[in-house]
Amino acid sequence: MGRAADARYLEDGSNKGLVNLEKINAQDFTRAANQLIGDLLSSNALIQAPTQPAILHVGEVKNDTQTYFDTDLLLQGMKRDLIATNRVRISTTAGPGGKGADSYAQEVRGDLESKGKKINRLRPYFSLSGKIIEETSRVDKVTQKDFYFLLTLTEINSGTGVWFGRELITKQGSRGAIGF
Amino acid sequence: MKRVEFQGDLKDVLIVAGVKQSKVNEDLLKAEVRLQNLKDKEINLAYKIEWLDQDGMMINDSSLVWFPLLIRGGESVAVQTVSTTSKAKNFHLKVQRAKNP
Repeated sequence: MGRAADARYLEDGSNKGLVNLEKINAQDFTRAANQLIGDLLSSNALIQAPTQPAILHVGEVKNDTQTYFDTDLLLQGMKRDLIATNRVRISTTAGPGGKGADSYAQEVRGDLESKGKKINRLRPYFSLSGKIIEETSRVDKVTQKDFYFLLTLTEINSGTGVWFGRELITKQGSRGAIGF
Repeated sequence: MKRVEFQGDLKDVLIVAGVKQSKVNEDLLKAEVRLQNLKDKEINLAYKIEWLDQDGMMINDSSLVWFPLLIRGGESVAVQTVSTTSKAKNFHLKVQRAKNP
């Protein structure tokens, strides 16, 4: 007889998910996104744009941790929440080197423009970028992992940062756990 | 509707020392709930805040995640949240003991 099957589904943001010391878990991304959004909204930086909703370009968030993950795990939730505020619209057809996130939409827009059709070219007013950093400390058999989520909102016209967000997720222990 | 729900035996251990509400970004609600530990011993908790619209329906945003919280003996700690939509009219805070104390 084998072991009884115990696979199960967990809801998003559950406190029963795995807690790994060495990496950022799903609930950590959601938690970081939520705290950063709360801080950004509390700063009232977005309502300073002269036109509402302002156009936001979501730029690169560099992963400086020891494990690979797609930073969209953090950004997609933030984009959803930012759109819901009705304070920004997020550009998906503008980006560094002329490359937007949605290449198809960009291509269609380019085609329309080349045929003399007028399209809206809204210039982003804000740009969001950042990085995620990992720090490790050890005492005896206890490991502490600090994951810093650092985001900066830049007002493109002035080229200055108008919000600097920092969210720290710290995990400590000698091995992983199921839930917290 | 009760805004704060203590699960298990927590109603004998914690009290709501205060609730504050304000607006940020012109029309988004920000809430702060101050929880006080009535015991001398520290307590490890998990909490989650749900934002509700005017019909009491839950709003699906990134606030739907459990957060860890430690409150030392006799201490009070404030938890804060900001709604991401002007549709949010009320909130519900759930607090339970952490699984790994």
